[in-house]
Amino acid sequence: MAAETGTPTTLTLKSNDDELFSVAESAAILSVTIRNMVEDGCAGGVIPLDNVDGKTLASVITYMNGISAIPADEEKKKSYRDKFLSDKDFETLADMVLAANYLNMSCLMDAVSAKIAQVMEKKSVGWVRRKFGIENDYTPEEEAAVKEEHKWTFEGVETDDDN
Amino acid sequence: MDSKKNVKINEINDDLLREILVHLPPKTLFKFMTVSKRWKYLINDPTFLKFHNNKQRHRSSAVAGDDGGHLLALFQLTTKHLSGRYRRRPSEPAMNILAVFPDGNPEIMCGLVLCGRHSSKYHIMNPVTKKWVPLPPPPRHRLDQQYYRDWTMGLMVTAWEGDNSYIVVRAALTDDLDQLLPIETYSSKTGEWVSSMLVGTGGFILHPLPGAPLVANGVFHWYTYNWQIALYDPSDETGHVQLIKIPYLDGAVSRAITRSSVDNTLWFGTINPNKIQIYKLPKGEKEDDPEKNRMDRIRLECFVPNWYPLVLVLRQAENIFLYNLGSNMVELVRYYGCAYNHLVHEEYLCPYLESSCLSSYFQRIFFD
Repeated sequence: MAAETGTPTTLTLKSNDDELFSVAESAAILSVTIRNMVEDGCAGGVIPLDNVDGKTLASVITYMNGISAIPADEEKKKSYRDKFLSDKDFETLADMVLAANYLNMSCLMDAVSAKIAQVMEKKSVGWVRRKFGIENDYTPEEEAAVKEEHKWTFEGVETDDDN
Repeated sequence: MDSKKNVKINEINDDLLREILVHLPPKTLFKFMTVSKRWKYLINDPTFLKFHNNKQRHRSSAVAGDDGGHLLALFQLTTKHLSGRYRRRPSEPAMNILAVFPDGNPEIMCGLVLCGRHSSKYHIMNPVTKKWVPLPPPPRHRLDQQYYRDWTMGLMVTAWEGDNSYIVVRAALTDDLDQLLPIETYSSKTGEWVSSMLVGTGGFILHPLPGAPLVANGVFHWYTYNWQIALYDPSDETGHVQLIKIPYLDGAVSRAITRSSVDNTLWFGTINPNKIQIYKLPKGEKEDDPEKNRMDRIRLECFVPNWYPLVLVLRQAENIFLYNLGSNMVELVRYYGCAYNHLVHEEYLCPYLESSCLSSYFQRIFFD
């Protein structure tokens, strides 16, 4: 599937729920995982991405297209990333961090982790446990001791809101 | 739908979690130690904290200011905290920290620490490598037992003797006002102690104020009893000691000196229950004299090293304040670790500016 010089090559990506997506190779190789496949010549036909669902992949492709259309200007890229992530909820962000990790896209990874941290910043411990599906494995005494040790961190505003 | 989400979220492994947590401000980070044991383990890991520290430092350049960043903490350096590979017999008393170079935190600044017990057991310790180097015992003075009650020790890493060279100066604290003061100097280059005599521009008695003498610009600065600072440059073989008069303040409860790295000026500050006085030395011109309301039991602990405009560290019981002379603002410092009023004042106090993550790391070592 050798591309002629000048003509943009299109890759077909397949999500784990069998949705197919077309994306320009120049945008798709932002993912080191995809780039390696292309370089290894495994990109003929359809590229299966077993760890990414269709909804998340669509989002990632939007990002790939958006960011690769911006010339080398870090400021503009940053504001694009901020805008791109601004309306995503926690679950979507969590899916995206997993996808970015699997696809090995460091810039998306960094932006999404920072966004998740920003969402978590004003949240309570209970909220974090719920959203991350974590079971509290402290005994009440242990928890009280850890809390006491970091008492000052519990001052200030925190919310339990779902968003 | 919800159950599906939870399965997904469980795929966030420790590495991914670290990637996320590293973006949290210190306060939130420490709060989330209470989420679960795994989270506590992840956060309370020196490698992670260093990673976090670098990231945050990159993000925020403000000092003692915004939530992202740097808090000031006063820490009592103890040999327990530094202990590393040094093991002592149970019968052997602990060694004290006698001097630290450079002023501030030696662990961060890659400096050295002088530990020991008067009058013959001294070690140089590198807090980064945890390597302890014993010094040979200083020559016994025939007056050791009779007149000298105590010593003051100075440690200086000396540029003129090559990398990693240092000298240790030990001066006796006497009761007699005298122009001459016998000292012993150890040089890492020769590996020997050499006795010599300091000659003051007038009579002086070194003051046993807590901590070691300030070392700046290759010069030791000691307090003396009669409101002077004694300056001694060990590269000057004549042993000349310059005495600078410092302004007297009635009822002074504490004092501090610093040398500003910006314009190389020597500053002296003192405090009594009514006012703080800051002087630029040696001219003695009065720089600032803010009349404050009555300040009970406020102590002037030290200047923040290498910080300009000048920032003072003040303490009232367990509250620590930063007083920025540039902006004339006082800020309460939130600190944690050992409650400050439990510290023994004579121990070496080391102020440093660092992110709170690192200070939590210190705290951990304290209580381990």
